[in-house]
Amino acid sequence: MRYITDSIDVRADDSVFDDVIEFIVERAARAGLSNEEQKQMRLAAEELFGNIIDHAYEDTGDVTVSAGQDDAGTAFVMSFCDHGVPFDPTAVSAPKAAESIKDLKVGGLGIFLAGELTDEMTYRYDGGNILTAVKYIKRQENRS
Amino acid sequence: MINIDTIKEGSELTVKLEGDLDRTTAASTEERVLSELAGVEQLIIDFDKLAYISSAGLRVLVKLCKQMEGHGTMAVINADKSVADIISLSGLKDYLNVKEK
Repeated sequence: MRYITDSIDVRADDSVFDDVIEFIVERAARAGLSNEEQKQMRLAAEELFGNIIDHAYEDTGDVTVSAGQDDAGTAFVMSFCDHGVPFDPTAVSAPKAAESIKDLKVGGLGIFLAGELTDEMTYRYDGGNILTAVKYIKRQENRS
Repeated sequence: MINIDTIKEGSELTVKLEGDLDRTTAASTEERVLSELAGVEQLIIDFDKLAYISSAGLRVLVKLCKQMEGHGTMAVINADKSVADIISLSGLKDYLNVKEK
């Protein structure tokens, strides 16, 4: 799959969090995703970029965020590339059910939601962590 | 952005949230509600004007629910469909008392 994407280089820092989310949502809208799907991509981006801010680097480091439509016009694609600790988000398992709220642990919940709200999520390590998430673009006549 | 409005009537506290409960607003929201929980036996979180929730917001709900455990109840009311769907997807619907609009 080849992509028609724009990218931005940012620091893994909360000071640019809103800029990254705005970039993703704007590109998702331009790719033709519905308002509800744009909200889902916002959530996936929040979880994936937030995870990089919190865990990739001891302090902070560089992140390249790319987003746009694939060249066939069938999918919105976003990717996050960092050079921090190797970490495969696709290997994170779903949060486990607990007997009561008291015993409930919600670690990994954000990554789990990102996986559920996108149609594909793939990871590879190539000198850095490269996480790619895909949302298929529904044709207008199929929209409710 | 989030606006927080609280109404206390006896041992019942209603927290009205307007905006987004996300990474940037979760900590301040949690801090504000926890600061008003003394003596509260019924905690009602009103999502009527909440537009968006992420895992950071869900963690706040879990924390508040744990806080109420043993000495009171908590309910989330007026959740719109997209917010309720995220709560369901997260598997937390069985633990949080959520009522949709």
